[in-house]
Amino acid sequence: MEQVTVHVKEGEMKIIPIVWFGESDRKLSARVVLDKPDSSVKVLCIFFGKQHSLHVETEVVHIARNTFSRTLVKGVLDGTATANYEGRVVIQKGAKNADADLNEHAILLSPTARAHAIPRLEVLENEVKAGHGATVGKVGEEELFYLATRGLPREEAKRIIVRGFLGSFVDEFPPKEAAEIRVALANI
Amino acid sequence: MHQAKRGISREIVEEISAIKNEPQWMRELRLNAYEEFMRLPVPTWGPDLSGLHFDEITYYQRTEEGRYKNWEEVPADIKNTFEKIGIPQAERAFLAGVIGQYESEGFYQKLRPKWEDKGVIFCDTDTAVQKYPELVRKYFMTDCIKTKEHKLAALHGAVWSGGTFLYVPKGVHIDMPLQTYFRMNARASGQFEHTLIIVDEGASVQYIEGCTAPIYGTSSLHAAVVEIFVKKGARSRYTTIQNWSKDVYNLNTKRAIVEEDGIQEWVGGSLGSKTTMLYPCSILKGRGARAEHLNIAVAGPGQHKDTGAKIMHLAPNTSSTVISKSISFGGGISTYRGLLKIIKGAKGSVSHVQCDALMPDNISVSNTIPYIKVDEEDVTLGHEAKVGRISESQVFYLMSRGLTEEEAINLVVQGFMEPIIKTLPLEYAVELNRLISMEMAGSLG
Amino acid sequence: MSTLTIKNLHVQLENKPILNGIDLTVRKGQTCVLMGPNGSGKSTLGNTLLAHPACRVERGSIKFGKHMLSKMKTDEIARAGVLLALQHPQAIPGVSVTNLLTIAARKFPQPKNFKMAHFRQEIKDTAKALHTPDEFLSRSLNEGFSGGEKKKMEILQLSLLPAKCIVIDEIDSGLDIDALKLVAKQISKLRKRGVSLVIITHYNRILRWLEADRVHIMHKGKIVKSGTSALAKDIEKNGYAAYINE
Repeated sequence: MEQVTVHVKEGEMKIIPIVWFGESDRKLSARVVLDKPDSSVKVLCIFFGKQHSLHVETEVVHIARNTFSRTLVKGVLDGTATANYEGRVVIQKGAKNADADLNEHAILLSPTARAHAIPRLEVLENEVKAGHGATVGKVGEEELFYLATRGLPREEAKRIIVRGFLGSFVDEFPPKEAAEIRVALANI
Repeated sequence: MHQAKRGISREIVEEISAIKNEPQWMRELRLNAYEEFMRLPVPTWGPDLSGLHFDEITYYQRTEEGRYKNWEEVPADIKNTFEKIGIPQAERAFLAGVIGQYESEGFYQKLRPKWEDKGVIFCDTDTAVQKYPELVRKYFMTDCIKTKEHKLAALHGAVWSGGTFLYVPKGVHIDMPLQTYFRMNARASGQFEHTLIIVDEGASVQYIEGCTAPIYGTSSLHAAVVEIFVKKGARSRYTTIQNWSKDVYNLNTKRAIVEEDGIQEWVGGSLGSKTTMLYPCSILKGRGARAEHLNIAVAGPGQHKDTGAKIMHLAPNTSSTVISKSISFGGGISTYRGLLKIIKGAKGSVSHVQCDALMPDNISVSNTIPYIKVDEEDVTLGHEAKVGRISESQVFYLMSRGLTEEEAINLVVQGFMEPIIKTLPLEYAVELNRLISMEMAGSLG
Repeated sequence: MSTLTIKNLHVQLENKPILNGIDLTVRKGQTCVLMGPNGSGKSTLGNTLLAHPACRVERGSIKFGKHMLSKMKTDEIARAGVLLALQHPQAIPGVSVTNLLTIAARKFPQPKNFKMAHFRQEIKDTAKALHTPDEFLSRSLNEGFSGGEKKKMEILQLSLLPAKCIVIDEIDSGLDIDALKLVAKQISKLRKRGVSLVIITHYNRILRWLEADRVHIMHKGKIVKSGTSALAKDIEKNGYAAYINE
């Protein structure tokens, strides 16, 4: 299991990118500790694959005041790919004004793809803003219909929707990872 | 007067069965369950259960002794609660555990024709074992909840007593909600009650168990079981409001199996008890089956509520909705623990889960732990959770309309729980709102 | 009797001095307009009048008739007849404006012939006058409402509670011309009833439909110029520059 633990400095905004293109099985965990005031983190995980399995664990712990975190996990699974995501956001007592959000969105394109998610939220301080969400599903019929009325066959439409779903996310990544992702996206 | 011993043993289980004069098959079920109980470990993945001492509990009492010998003995704060939420005198005695059995004979006789004429069976489970053995044997801890599932289910299987048995024949619709204290032999402290509800094809029924008034049981452990079978095209709503005294471990197991186009609704409010572990489970077995879970959990000082919903989508076009609202204050801990499973082949399934938590102070805890397992791509699933406090701005806003600070907080809390409270019959809704304001008063600085 | 008297008011917000000595008198039935550039402290004054917990009075006093507002709690001030239309009204999920009004109405001293059924009808009538659709009355208050709808909800509420003095914070932000006219019309009705008005505004569009008895300009927590509606017209033409000595 690849593991990384990060402590963010006071006043710093750190971006932690996690990228998986389905080239092999992978297990990784990222742990971020916000123990300095005004520290912020964005944990961004993008995944898409046709085979193999991905296991990702993310944990963000809010300790100091005025901390900010966004954990956003977005992915598309095709073929026999599977993704197992365990995310955790902990807001400890005293972490006043914490603003935390954890979101996971997965699209399944094939009957053999699998997604499991456990997005955990543990809050021990009440002067905070905290939320989490998760959605798992297939490409919407409405969107496919709309593109069909513009002459696009189903497979093409799916590709466009998937690229849009992931593409809007890519810009948040640091330039090096963003470039890699764009190249990979072009090949879907 | 039969005095039951403390603790559990094979002899005690046999004694219970003998006293009830049960048929052989039920005695065997109990003894097998006892073996499972001895074998299985205490669950450790949830709240701390180390304060639970199985050998110190009395599992069966022959006579229905109340906890207090007379009304005078009942502590003042309990009496005050009843006063404030307006429970009539006769019921108060029942609920305070002063008298063991509700003298509901007159009331019961008046209502009985309403359902008996339609072939509905509504009685306590012990009676059902004697009068309707084929029905009970077919459904009792067979396909729904099995004794070997976990330690508390096994314990229940061994020492269960009382509870409601409800059978609704095909096509019968019962308009008024049936309530526990409608039936004879309703006991104030049903610690190991077994409720078995069978709604046959195309029928519909609503059943309400429990009440908002604090109930002072004679035992510190409640391990009740509710099994519900919703047949094709049938509809069942099970509402439970519990307010057990604050020294109780409330560890119940509730599950419904829903067949094709059936609908199961769980509506629950958990106010009392020291520790509650409760995850109503809906198994959407037939195509088009639906489940709706509405839950309120209140965790005040010294309380730990670990509640949620378990839903298994096992067939195509099934749908589920969960709305969970929890409030933790005064150091209370509230955890939403959910399982949403969609198996391969359950195409077209849709599920939406919304859990919101309110934390008015910052010495309490709120957790949300949803397990999402999707093995089918043709589905739509969404889960959302928000945790927050009652904002100073909301309070200021309401105070600027003349409400006192306490009234403002109560109004925000009521508004928070409104989506669930509006599904309750009016008396319950009013009582529940009042009770929650009382619980919170004084705990908020 | 119901004169609002503010004397030498110094207020801090998050440890920063925002009001630095405000003296203001609003007599019964008067309409007073407070204008000024952003950051002048107008909203803080509005919130302080209703004892917002974040506003700390360091010095000075606020009196309304015989009530010492600076020593009272928010709800007591409201029940004494001083009401505030907020700039950013809060969303209260699960509570409709009808809920809130029927609960609040019972808390205020009401005339002997007060009947809840009539009150409910009044709510509907006032909503109609403000061109607010009926269904807004039963929706969760302010949840998903546009800025304009929120403002109308504020005026609706304040028109229906026994008010002696109404403070309106940033009355016209978020309102289009038509909505502003409706709101102004409603406020004129209140003025006719003898209600004193403190209107906090950045622009003076509303003065096209509302009479102002006094206009004050605030800057850096102080009132720097007072006058009549002519003053407002001047600002409309020439901006605040002349009064702000920078």
